[in-house]
Amino acid sequence: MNFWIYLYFPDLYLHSFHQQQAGPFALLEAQGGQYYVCQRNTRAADAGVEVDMPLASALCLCSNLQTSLMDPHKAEQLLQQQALWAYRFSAQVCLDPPQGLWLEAASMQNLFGGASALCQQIQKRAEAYQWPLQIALGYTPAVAKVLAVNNCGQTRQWQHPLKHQQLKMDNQQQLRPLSMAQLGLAESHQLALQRFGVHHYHQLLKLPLSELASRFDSDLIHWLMQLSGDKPTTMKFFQPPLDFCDEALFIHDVEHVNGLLFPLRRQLSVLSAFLHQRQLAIDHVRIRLKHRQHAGDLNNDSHWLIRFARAEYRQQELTQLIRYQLEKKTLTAPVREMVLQVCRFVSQQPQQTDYWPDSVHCRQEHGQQLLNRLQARLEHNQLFRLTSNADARPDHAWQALQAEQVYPANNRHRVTGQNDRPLWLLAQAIPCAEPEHIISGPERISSGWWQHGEQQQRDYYQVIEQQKNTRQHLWVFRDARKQWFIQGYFS
Amino acid sequence: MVSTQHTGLYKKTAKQPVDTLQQMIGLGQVWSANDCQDESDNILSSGFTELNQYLPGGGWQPGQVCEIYAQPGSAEVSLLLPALATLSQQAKWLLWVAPPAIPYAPTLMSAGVELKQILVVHSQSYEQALWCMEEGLRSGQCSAVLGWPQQWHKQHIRRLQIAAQDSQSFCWLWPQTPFDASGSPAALRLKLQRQRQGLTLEFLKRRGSWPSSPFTLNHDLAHISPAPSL
Repeated sequence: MNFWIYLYFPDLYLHSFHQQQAGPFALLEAQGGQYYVCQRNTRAADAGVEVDMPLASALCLCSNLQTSLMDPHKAEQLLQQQALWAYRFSAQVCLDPPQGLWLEAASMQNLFGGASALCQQIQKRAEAYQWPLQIALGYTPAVAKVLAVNNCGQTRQWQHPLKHQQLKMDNQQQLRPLSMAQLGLAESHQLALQRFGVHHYHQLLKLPLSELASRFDSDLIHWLMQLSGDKPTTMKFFQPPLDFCDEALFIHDVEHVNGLLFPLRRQLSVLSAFLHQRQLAIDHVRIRLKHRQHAGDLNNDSHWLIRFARAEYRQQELTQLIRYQLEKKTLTAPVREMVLQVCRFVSQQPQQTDYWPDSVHCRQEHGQQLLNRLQARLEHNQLFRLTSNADARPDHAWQALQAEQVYPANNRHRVTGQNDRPLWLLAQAIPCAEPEHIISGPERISSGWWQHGEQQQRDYYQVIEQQKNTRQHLWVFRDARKQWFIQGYFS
Repeated sequence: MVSTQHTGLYKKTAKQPVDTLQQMIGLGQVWSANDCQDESDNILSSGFTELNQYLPGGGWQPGQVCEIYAQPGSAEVSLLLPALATLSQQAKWLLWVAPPAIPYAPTLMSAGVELKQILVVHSQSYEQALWCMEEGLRSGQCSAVLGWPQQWHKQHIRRLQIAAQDSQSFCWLWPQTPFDASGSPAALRLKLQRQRQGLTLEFLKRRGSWPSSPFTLNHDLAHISPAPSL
């Protein structure tokens, strides 16, 4: 038989804000043209701001209250993020919007050494992220939920393996003293039950279901049957997507790039764990910044695509690389939200052990790290490698290769009769006057007739150009139209 | 009364030079012969017998920055091609930072330099070039860093010298500024002049030795070590 763990994240939306040195802060919900407080932080609670209080009253109590409107779509995304995190504990995760998750626990208890150990581990991991979490184990999904929401399912030492019957008895004990409101019944049902003296769950249990069915509508009966396990709860199973998206919200707008680094470090640690679990690596990340001005207008977001020369998965290296890239950027407007996204993954290269630190493979691996760092700091076309082509035309005899491209194997061509070439080649030949001191030449290079527009017929000379006190050894050519150009120079 | 005054004066004058010396050592302005390690295994032949004779240790030493001053086009880079050819056999980068033009691949190949190991950076500013050079030296993944910095600052050269020493990499710089005679933290400073009879070299600073007198290389550097035709 299955049993379930329910994870209840109180004020999940509120805690998704980056709350460092935050003042009183509240989340609002619009109802009938008025705003009501739906979540508030401890500073706001100290000032007397209550849930379901109208905004005007809240501001009277606490004049420096900062507010933000709750976005239901985002609330759903936040829960998805939590589900992604919870997926490491159980293969079956179900979403219960807005703030809860079910985890199937029976099949996992052997792996974690008992149901209690599993619960403890979840709690411990959640503490690291500073999420408040209420957790409960139940023999049906509904029981687990009720216990978790009321925070009365304190994890106890269950024996291992946990028997379904034993859990059922324990759960019934825990449920008995709960009031109707705690059970989560609709207000009309609560009132009706109160009228004939039913205040607690154990009183309700004494009434036969058929009697209740004749007095109440089916909602209550369904709920009771779900609690007892006679009727299954409809659940939405969570499928982890293979893309990564993590959001950081800011209470205070971030106005400088450096302000993004701190929340980014947390996001990258989550990303790194995500990659490590799946043995994946990434060669780019997307950062989307939502700005304060033009709220809701998608076109005004900043989109930064950050590429790496080589796939990476280590947190430290990722942080370093992204920091270099961010140093090049400036913010166009204050940022209120940052989204880190990755949607393409590559498989991880096997990690090199340091057993043979001098092996060729290991050193190449290290060389890639420098390449990655340089590329992170430099613009796309600033860093390149050289390859040679078997072509007689000087400007076609070499080629720049972007650093992230694969170096062609066996890039060695015959170099014949080319011992008198200059060391430096000008990117573009410069027109010049007819030279006076010719040392050697002409050497005719006529090639490229098979390529349209690329045909060259040039006579190359080595010349000495002497000005007042400089003496340069140049490589010049005269083209078919008898015009002179400097191609390169010796050094 | 008089004697105490004298001793006070004596102490003051005696202490001051010691302090200044310690300070200078702390700042790295004094080179101590004790720090000189025996690097004879890692000495890199320059490819020229005359030059090897003048270089302390008989060749280029790793972990040393060498500044080269010359008129552009006086074979100041070709001078290094034999050394670069040897270094390029290692599976490490040869990092060229801010070169004045494109290094011409066929020339490098015919000199025996492995193109695969070459990494070229066109920097946008002096600061960026300096960062690249330092990062290259610090990473320990470059066998040599070649740089053409647009500016010359003593403290920056010192940073490079320390980075080179830590990673035991080679570093050659061609500062694009006039020679600064007030001294440099670089281990070697070389002046080059192309003359009719050949190339005249002069070490303006040699770590571990005195500055040299000018000497001449009789090689035609445009045609060094021609590769055998395959």
